[in-house]
Amino acid sequence: MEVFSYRFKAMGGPCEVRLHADDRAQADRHAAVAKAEILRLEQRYSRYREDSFTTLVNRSAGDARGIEADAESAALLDYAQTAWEQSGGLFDITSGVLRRVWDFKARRVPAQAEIDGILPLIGWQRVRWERPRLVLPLAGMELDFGGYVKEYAADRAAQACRDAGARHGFVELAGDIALIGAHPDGAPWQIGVRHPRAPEQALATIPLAAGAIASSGDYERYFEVDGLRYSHLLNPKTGWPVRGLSAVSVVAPQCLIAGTASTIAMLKGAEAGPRWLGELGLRHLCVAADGVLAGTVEHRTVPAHGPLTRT
Amino acid sequence: MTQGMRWGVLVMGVALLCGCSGMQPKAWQRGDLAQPEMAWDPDPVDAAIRQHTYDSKEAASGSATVGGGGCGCN
Amino acid sequence: MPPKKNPSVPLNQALLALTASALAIPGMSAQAQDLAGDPMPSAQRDSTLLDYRFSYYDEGHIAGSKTSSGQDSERYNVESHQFRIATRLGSKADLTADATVETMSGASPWFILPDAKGKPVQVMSGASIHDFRQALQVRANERFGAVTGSVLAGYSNERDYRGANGGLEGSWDFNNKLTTLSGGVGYTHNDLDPTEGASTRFPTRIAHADNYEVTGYAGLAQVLGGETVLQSSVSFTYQNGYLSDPYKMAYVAGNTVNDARPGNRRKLAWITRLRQNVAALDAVVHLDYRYYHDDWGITAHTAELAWYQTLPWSWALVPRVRWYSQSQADFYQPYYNAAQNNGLYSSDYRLSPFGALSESLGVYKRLGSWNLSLRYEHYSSGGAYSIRSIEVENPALVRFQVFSAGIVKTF
Repeated sequence: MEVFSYRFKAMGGPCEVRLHADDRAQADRHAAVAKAEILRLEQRYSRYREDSFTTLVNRSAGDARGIEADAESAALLDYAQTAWEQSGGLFDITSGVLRRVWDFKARRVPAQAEIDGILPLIGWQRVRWERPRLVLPLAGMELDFGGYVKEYAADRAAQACRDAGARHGFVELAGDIALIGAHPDGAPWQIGVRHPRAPEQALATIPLAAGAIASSGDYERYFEVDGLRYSHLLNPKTGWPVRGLSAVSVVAPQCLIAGTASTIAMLKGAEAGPRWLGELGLRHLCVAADGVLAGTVEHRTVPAHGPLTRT
Repeated sequence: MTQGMRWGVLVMGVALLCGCSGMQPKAWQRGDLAQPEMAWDPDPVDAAIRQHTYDSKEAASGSATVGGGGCGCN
Repeated sequence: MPPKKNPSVPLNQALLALTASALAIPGMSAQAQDLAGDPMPSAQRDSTLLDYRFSYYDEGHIAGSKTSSGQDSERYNVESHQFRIATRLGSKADLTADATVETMSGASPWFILPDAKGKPVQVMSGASIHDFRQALQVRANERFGAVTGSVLAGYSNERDYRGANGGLEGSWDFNNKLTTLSGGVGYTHNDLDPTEGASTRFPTRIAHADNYEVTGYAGLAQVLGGETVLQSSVSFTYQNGYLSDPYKMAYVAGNTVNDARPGNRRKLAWITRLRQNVAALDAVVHLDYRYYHDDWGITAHTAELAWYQTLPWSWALVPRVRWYSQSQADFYQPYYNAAQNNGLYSSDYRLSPFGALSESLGVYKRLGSWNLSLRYEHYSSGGAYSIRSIEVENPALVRFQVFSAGIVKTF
């Protein structure tokens, strides 16, 4: 068996399918299945596409009749509701509207009054979700599936590869990885974890023989003003970026759960975040603002911060 | 103690040694429950013939299933 | 920083809620095991599984010191071929069919005589028995959300024995799939047409008889933390009809009479099964215990310990030890010095008091979608393994070994 790697862009970031196959043709077939699944979900849930479910939902905001969700979207909405409940309201797919005042390209800190003007549009408790009917009661409200569809897509693509007969490999979407399976000899993949202050370098490697790993960090989108870092991880209750942890990586059976847990941990902050992951019983690795590593996942620190690899 | 028993104990020891050298990190908790080895009967066909053999040589029977049939006794 | 081991944390409610919600999304791979029966465990991601297993059962000879002739005598051999096909029918149903073909040959215990000192010695059946058994079991499972229903039916055929059975089983997952309640009912009808029944050679042997059996069970399985699963079940069986062995005789004060057992039997079994993951060794421990009691007066204990050791390059090793001990049936005697008022006679070693110990080793190797296995087992029964000391051992207690090889292919 040989290792084959396929890279492409989807869901706003770099993707990779790497797998062991008997020959190039078999690898091509398995990778195509994964890519098709990722592109399907991108098309369905992208904010930027006119025909996506997300656009359809957001156009319906203010319409009391709402819209009807298909089975997959309904299950994703149920999941969002569960994550909202379990995070005490921190994981909230209505918080995307904050981007109207937080422009990470313009690098501008909004005034409190601007944020206060947006907050009434935020809060899953304002959404009327009575499966299969979804109503966004206020015009201007928005749902954003970007916070978890990427991880879900990694799970689905890995499963699609397994269904097609692949057994050894992984699917990665911008750092979130769902394993198809361990190396053919059963050895784990060594997953490099990003250094939050040098994102193309590995801070540590985590061996993974099954399941998934997802990371969340303040390095993904941010700007700095007067020495303060403003990251894209916004608290939906205050409208302000959270501070505390630099990055969190979580290992879970599903990439979806790993991603949700890492996002919630970041939002909970330096003390409550790691404690909550501990209560969950999920293996994790946290990087504090000062760069100190802590966590329960077996890992090897990379001394000179070598290149980011997955082997 | 019989020859067979000593042999069994020896094999167990070897298995433990192999287990250590071939140790792989196992992930998450929930996932461990999903391993095929955690099934009640990981090899159901083998389990069926073993059960059939014991049932035909011993007085006791009964399991958490209602399947079965056949004697093949003597 | 040295690697840290994750402490064994019980499953957290938040994680359970997220997991349940994630797995409710259509097409998400279910990493969590279904606790109720596991009709096609290795085929969960695959649509079809084919399984073939050959087993050679070889009973050790009976020593001359235990036979009436004073000669060693060969006993029974069985060659079994098992075929299984398991396939998915849509996303919520699956079907499993098991076919078994066996050829049996050899001699079997006939009756027991007292020797000059009163020691029981075995008389073996003179002619070598040759028989052929074919059996088919079919099972269909369908999931309705948290409930799984199963229908099963089967047939077994030998020259002198025909059985047909059917059953219904169901299971229900609740408490976030941490708990599973399961149960089932089954019915079996057997027809016996013994070889040379009512013949001039064996005039007292019955020509035809039948019996039936009704069985039911209920069980509860519980996830205890992330690495432990426990199941406890109670099974009850009622048998009615001809339950004797038509080929066996009993010695009664100088005569031989037909094996004669009660016309019904009530059996109770309580089965507890534990599956414990040992993450540090990449192994899983299986511990099973069964308590058994019936109204023929037999109480039995069965304990089984197996260690599933995963090794690199898709190898696995499964050593297993099984211990069994039973008390005798009330009416059993190795031989009878006087006629019994109840008219019940049996000297069958299966109804005698004994214990047994078996050791087994299995080796598994996965090659892509193929899985190969070899297994050896040695089983030995005798008074020494019994939970209570035994005054008189039945001379026919068995020793056997089994060689078995299997091949599984998933599609």
